[in-house]
Amino acid sequence: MTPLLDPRIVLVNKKVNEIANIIAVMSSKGGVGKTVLSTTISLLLADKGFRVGLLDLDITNPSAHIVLGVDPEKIKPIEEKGVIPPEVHGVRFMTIAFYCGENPLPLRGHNIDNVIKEVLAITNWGKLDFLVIDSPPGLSDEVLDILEYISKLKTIIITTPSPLSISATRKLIELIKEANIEILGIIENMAEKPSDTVTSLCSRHAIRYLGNVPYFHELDSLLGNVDRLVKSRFAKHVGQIIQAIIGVIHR
Amino acid sequence: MHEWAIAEALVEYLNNYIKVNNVRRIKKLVVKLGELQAIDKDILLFSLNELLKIYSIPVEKIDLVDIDAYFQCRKCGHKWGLNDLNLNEDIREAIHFVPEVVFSYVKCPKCGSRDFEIISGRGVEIGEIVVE
Repeated sequence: MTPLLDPRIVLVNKKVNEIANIIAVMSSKGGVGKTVLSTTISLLLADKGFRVGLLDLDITNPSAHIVLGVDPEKIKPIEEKGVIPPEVHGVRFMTIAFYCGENPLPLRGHNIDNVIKEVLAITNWGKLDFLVIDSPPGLSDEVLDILEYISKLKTIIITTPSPLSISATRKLIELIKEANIEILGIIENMAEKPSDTVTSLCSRHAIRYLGNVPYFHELDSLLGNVDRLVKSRFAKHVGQIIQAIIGVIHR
Repeated sequence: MHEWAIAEALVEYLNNYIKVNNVRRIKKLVVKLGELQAIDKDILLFSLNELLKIYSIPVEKIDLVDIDAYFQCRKCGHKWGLNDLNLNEDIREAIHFVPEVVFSYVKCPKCGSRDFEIISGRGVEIGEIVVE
């Protein structure tokens, strides 16, 4: 007899089989803008009329709800044959913050793995055009789980022009390619113009350069105010990148 | 009906299991229920039976076995049980959905550390599948 595996893993891909595109937004360096970019990408895709979900898989430091202005004590998923994520500004949104609130959630690796399996197994997304996954920095449990458990995953990598971020990006590219997972492209964040280092990294690895987003000093003041965020100069830049992403997907 | 999703995971698993192992009939399915997740047994059993019918998987007997939840501090070694804690309804509800959020709400009663292990009774798992 085959050994007993975790039954939740079997369910994970069934739960996402009505989702056309699952895109994990990744970078192995922290502070490069993954959460703000993945949340803004989700909001702008929803504005375009797509059915969109956003999953915050930064388990020990969830923060997408802050960008969305969601108080996790007040809004909760609905329980129905699992849980149905609440819709926030047109985006179906799921985060561990619904369950841990603003309390610290210190977890060792095997516990993170358990949380991810549980959340992926119980969340009923329904039909979606896009599910955007905000992933945490690093190359540990969350990232390995995302790459392992979701079979039709695509990825977008975020980097800044900093040599520290580029070094981490190189390692992430290697890991994703080894897992045979598609990289839709790289977004260069906090860059006035495309930098030679990132564009040459892209050409060296045959990865699309999706575009650059300048650093906006006022961005922090827009977090939590979705109406202002989606009309910001930042969002305008992200909008151009979304056109590039849609172009790649529909090519 | 969060229990439905858990039953779905178990039945999806059984469906794969009987195909891979070429099994026609399951004599007994043992499911361990960790106290921490506080699963409603009646709802789980109802969901399991409904799903087994939908998937046409013959299972003669289902045993649901309760497993008490115990914790052990990684810092001072102290062991304690879920019954030693006084958690309010909202916290119990959150833990029901994702048992690991216990680390947000519980500290070692002896030294105050949050660095502890759930040593038993976390959630739902298959204990045994007895086939003909």
